Amino acid sequence: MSSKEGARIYEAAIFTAKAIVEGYFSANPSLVKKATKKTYHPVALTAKKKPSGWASDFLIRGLVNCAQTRLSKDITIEMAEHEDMPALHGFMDEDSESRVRIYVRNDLNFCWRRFVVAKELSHLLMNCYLGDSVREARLEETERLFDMLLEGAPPDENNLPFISEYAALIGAVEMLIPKRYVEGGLLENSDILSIAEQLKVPRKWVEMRSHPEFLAIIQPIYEKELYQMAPIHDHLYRSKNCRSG
Amino acid sequence: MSTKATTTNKPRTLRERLGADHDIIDLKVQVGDNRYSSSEVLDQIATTLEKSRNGELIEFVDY
Repeated sequence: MSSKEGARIYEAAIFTAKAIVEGYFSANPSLVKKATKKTYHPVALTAKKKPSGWASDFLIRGLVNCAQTRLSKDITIEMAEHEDMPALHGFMDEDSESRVRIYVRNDLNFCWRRFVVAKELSHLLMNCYLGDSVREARLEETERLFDMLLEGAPPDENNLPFISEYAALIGAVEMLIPKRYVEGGLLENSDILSIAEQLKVPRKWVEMRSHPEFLAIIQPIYEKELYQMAPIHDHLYRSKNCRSG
Repeated sequence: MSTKATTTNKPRTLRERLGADHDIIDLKVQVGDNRYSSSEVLDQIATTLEKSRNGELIEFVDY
């Protein structure tokens, strides 16, 4: 495995996140209009009812709903008890029937729960695009990954599942603080805490989004030509081929 | 009391805890605390999955 493959995982995380969040804005055009007027709403993960009285504004389709449609997977989010899994914030489980369950710990605050769910969703999207290369299909590999994570080991570019853990964090940031918002001036006139409260994202990740080093990593990927995103869109739409990659 | 005997009898892996039908399980984990061994983490995951299977967890729909 080369570092080129590691870079491919980061690209996949950002491209898939960008693809799904753009699908979200397409499904919710009223949010795009509001964003152009510098009114930024939190990116919804699940469907939300908006009791405006107007049919077109009644339902906001969330990122999870968009992913369900694109991937033809049944995705549910369940609240796990803190006492049952004190070591974890959340995890994702996908079975042979394409049923996906994202588990998030119930004692985390609302913003962190959203972030954990977005991160696991990013894993799902990356899996569908990259196929088996980042899957911990073998439980023994999962156990090895735990050992690496629990020991606080530095990123290992020879371990794709390990890299995918970091890439999924960036995918989650991309989904919850979308490029569309950033380019519209989200980060320019407000402090970090206000933005975090506005978008319902942990403050730490808003800081990350505006960090020069983060931008230096992400900008070259943004600058790739749009045609390079085509295969990713294609993978996301062709759900039948998700498992084979 | 023999701790060793207790440990030996306890299922050690997710596969043993959940059975063969979960053979292709795909897990992605966010580790929140480093005080636990990997076998403890797997144990915690198995417990949560078992509760989910039994319908004991609340589905969260308003994110």
